[in-house]
Amino acid sequence: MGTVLTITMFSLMASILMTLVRALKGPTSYDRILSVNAIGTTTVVGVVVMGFLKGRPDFLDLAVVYALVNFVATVAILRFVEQRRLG
Amino acid sequence: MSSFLLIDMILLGLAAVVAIGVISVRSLLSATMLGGIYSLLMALIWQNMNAVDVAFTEAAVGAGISTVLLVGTLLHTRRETNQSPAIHWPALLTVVLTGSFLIYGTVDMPDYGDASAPIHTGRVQQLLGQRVGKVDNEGVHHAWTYSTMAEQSVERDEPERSFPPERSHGEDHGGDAEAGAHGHPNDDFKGHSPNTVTSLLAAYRGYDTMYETAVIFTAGMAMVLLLRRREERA
Amino acid sequence: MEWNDYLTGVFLALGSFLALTGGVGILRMPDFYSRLHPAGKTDSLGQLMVLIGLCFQTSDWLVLAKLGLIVSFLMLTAPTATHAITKAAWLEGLRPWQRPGDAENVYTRKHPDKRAPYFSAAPKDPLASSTSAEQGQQLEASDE
Repeated sequence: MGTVLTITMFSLMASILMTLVRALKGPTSYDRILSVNAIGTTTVVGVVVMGFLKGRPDFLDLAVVYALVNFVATVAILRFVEQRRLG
Repeated sequence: MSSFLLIDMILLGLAAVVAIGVISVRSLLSATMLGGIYSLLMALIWQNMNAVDVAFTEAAVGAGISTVLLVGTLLHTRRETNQSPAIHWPALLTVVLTGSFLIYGTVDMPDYGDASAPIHTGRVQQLLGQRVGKVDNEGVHHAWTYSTMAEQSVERDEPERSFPPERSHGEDHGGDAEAGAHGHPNDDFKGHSPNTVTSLLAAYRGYDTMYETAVIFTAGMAMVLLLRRREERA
Repeated sequence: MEWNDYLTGVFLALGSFLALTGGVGILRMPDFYSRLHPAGKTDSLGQLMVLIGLCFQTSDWLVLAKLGLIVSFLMLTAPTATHAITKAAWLEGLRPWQRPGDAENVYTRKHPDKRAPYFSAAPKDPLASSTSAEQGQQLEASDE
């Protein structure tokens, strides 16, 4: 089972790498926001997979926090881009 | 090479790429978002090191609060850096020298999980000779219970505790002679952890938890401030 | 290998495939609006497959509940975030990429009578200003 989880982890990291290239290239800021959001979701899944890979599924609390924080960060950036003000 | 080491190396490489991207991109908004990616990757690295509390703080501070604060700062500044990226040679030299010294320092460090590391050797004989949690030759399991501690400390007339507790490094340390002088009667460590790092962490556990709670509370407050409804200003 | 290991393997393989193809799509698609498709696929279906696959690996109800919580959070927030990004991009005036030779600012190819704009409430209606060729230009240089 550990092999399957390790392969999944590597494919998630490959996905992060490709999305990261798009975040570095741009060209518009919306591409970057989209890439950050996709990397955030992939990281949440990666945290869960890593928890099972280590045999400690207690790490799932971390993934719950991440899923919420990632959404908040995306909303903050979008409010800045769209309305030029926060809150 | 274990797969955890390989994952760690790949994640650190990705984090290095993101860091170079942060300092080389012109748009400040892009740098802010790349900083968010950096902290996400760092949290995966912390989790790979089994440091879940640090990963928690990184999630709340790095990906959440610092992104919101930096975006709020961007509202009052321009969106672009006004100078072209140039290499400042003395700064680069300083950074490279410091990094080289740090890497040189890690060569002398013990291996990860090495039992003969200095933090273990101080009390590792006691660790091997302790009775709590083990089954002795008579088949008696020395369980760690609060009730026995309470009973025996009443009838024992406990002496004053001293910190740090006096160590006993004798070869004949069986734990019977002075066992239970401090802490649990069956505890050969007199209520302290055998691992130095663990005992330090336990001693400052309250501050650690207090500031982590403060961080999480701040993150929650920022979430409320960001997502609340408010009437439109004209 | 028990039966649950096979199920986990199948689901994790599907999730890995979706994550990889999503990464390739985000990297290779020609413009922002087409990149939304692989990004949304990775966000919703890929994570769902991986998390469902991991559900078969535990017998702890607390872990299962946390996995369900993560799935529901992600299913709520990821499409919302993608939608918000798209709306912000459209409102700022980013227009979809077109092949050379296509009619300017007409985004439906097969059904000419259904040429209503995608977002009728958008302040910059693409059909109302179909004479200006600059409208269809992307905001390529807006960020660099």
